[in-house]
Amino acid sequence: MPRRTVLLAITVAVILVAGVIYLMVLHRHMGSPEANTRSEQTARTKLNEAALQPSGGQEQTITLYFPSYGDGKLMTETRLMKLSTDNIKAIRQILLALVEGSHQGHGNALSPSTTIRAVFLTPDGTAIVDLSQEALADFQPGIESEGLAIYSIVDSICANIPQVKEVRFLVQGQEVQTLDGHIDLTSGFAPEPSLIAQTH
Amino acid sequence: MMAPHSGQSENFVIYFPKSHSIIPVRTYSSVQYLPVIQLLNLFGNVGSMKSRKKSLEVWFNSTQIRLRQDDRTIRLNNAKLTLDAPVRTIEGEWMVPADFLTSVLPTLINQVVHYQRGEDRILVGNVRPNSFALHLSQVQNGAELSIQFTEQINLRTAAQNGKWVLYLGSHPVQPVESIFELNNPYVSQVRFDDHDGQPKLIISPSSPGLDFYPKLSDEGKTIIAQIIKPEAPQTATGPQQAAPAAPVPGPSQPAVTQGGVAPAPAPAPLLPAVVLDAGHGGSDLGAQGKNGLLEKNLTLQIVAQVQRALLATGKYRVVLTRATDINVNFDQRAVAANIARPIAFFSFHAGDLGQSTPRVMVYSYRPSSPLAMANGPDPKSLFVNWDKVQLHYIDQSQRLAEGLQQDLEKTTKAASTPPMELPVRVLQSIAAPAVAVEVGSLAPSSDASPLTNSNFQQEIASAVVQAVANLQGGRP
Repeated sequence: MPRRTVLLAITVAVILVAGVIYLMVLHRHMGSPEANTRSEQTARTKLNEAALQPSGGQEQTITLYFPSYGDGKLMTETRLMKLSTDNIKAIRQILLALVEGSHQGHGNALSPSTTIRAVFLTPDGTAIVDLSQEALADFQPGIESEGLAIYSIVDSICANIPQVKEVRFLVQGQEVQTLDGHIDLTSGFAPEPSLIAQTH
Repeated sequence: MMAPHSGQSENFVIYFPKSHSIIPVRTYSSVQYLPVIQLLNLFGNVGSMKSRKKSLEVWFNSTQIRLRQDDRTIRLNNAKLTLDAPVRTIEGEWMVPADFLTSVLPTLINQVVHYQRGEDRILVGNVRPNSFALHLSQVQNGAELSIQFTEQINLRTAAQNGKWVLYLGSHPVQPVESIFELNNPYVSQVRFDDHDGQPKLIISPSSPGLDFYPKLSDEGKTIIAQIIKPEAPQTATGPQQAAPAAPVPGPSQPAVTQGGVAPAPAPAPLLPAVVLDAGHGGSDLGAQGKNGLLEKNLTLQIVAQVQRALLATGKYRVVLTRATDINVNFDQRAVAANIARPIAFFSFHAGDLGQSTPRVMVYSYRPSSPLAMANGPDPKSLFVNWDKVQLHYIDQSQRLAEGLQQDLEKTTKAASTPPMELPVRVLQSIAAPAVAVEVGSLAPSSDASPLTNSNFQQEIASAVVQAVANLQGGRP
C-alpha cells in the first residue's frame, strides 16, 4: 500500500474518532428533553430554596392576604419570616408562602402545584411574576375566585415590599388575557386595600 | 306506522364550511324529527341497510347504526346512546328526533355540530356565522335603517309581495333577534329568514308608496337603507335635490300626495335595547358542577329566562351576544353589544362562591390600576380607546350593580354580598352601564341543582327587569 494512502486512511480514522467523541460530549451536555425539564425544575427549586434561606434579613412579621370565597374579601394572616433584602428574592418568598397556603383555613390564591417560574422587578416598581401552567389548570372557577386570587398576590407583595407599586402576570412566560376567562390580565395591578376584610 | 298527515312540515338548513343543504323536518308530539337516511347521506357514505318492521340497521362509513321503532336507544357498533325522544317511522321513513344532531351525529362524523333546540339552523365543523344588529334613525321624510354585520356580506336586493328583500350572500347568519317589530311610520318590521338556505332580511314598509334606497358601506359590513316618502311633483323650477341612489322598485304603486308635501310624522324610535351576555360557550366550558352541569349551558338557561321576562314588559328589545353553544370572544361580545346601543348590559356567569348556595354576586368594572384611569377617557378626543370604553360608564355601572344587588336581595332567597368592583374583561369595552352577575356555587364539590331551579332563575330575571326599569326611572 502506498505511503500516501496509509496517511490518508489514518487521517480519516482520526477525524472519525474525534467526531464521535465530540458528538458523545455534546449529547451529554445537551441531554434529553426530560433531563432539560428536570434541570429547569431543579433550577427553580434551587431558586426557591435560595429565596427561603435566611439571608441576612431581620426576622419580621409579614402580612399575607388569602381569599375568602363567598365573602368577596381577602383575609389577613401574619407570619414571622426572614424576608430577604433582595426585593426579587423577597417577592419569591411571598409567592411561595401563598403557594404553601393559609394556616387558618382560608382559600388558596395559588394551587400547591403552581411553580414560580421567574420574578422580575423593573426600576419603576413593576413586579412581573411568571407563573407555571398549573396556575391556570388548578383554578377555582368564577369571577370572584379569579379576582380574589389575583389581588391576594398583588396585595401581599405590595404590603410587604413597598418598592413594588404594580404587579403584572405572565403564565409560562407569556402574557395571557385572563387566568380563567374573567379578570383582565393584560395590564398591571395596583394593590386594592378595599378588598381586605376589616378585623375588629 | 304513523298516520300520513301527522306532523307539521318545515325545513332545517345545514351549513357546511363551503356549502349548505336543506333537510325536511316533521313535528310529532312537539318533537322535531329528521329523516335519518337523508341526513346521513349529507355527511358520508351510507352502505348496506337492513330495514325490518320494527328495526333498521345501517352501515355509515365504518359504523353500524341500529335503530328500533319507538325506542330512544341507538346503538353505534357496541356503544349505546340515548335520545331525548323515541325513533319513529313516519310515512314509511325512519325518523330520528332533532337531538340526534348533537348527541349522535358528532360521534359519527367526527366533527362539531352546533344546533340549539328551537332553531332551524345547523352549523357543521368550523363554520363561524355572521351576525348583525339593527339601528333605526330619523331622516327627512323618512327613516334610515343601519344594519351592521360582524363579517362582510354580499348584498342583493329585490321586492316581493309588497316587501323589500335583502339577500345577504351564502354565508350563514346567526341572528341575535329574528324579528324586529319597529312600529315606525315608514318601516313596520324587519325579519330574518333562511329557511330556503338563503339568508335574507325581509323589510315590511308601514305604508305603500315608499321608496327604498339600500347601499353597502363599511367595507361591505353595513347596510344603510333609507326608506323615503317621495315628495310631490314640483311645478316650480327650483334646485332639485339629488336622489341618493336608484331605488329598489317599490313594493306597490307610489302613493299620490295631495296638495303639496305634508310634514312626515316623526318615526318612533326603536325600543331601548338590553344586551344579555351568556358567559363562555363552545369549547370554553366555564365552570363545571358536581352533577356535570356546565357554566356555558347554565348561563344560556338564565339568559333565556331574563330575555323572556324583559320581552314580556313590551318596553325593551333584547340583544343576545350568543344564543347557541358557540365560541364568542370578548371583542365579538362587545361589538354585538355596542352596535345595539343598549341602555344596559348584563353578563351572566356561574362559579365557585363558597359553601352557601344558591348565592348571587354582582360585579361592575374597575381598571386594575389608577394609571389606567388616569390615561382613561379624554373628553376632548373624538375617539375612545376600545379597551377603555367602560371608563365612561363607571358611575352608571356602579349604580346599576347596587340597584341590581338590592333587587336580587328582595326577589331571591340567595345569599348575597355588596357588589364588587373588579377589572372584569367582558365589561371593559362595553359602551353602556354594564354589570356581570355570577351565581354559585358551580364547582366540582358543590351540588348545582339549586342553580337550575326555574323559580331561582325567574327570580333573577325579575330582579334584572326591576333594575332596568330603575335605570329608566319607572316601573317594570
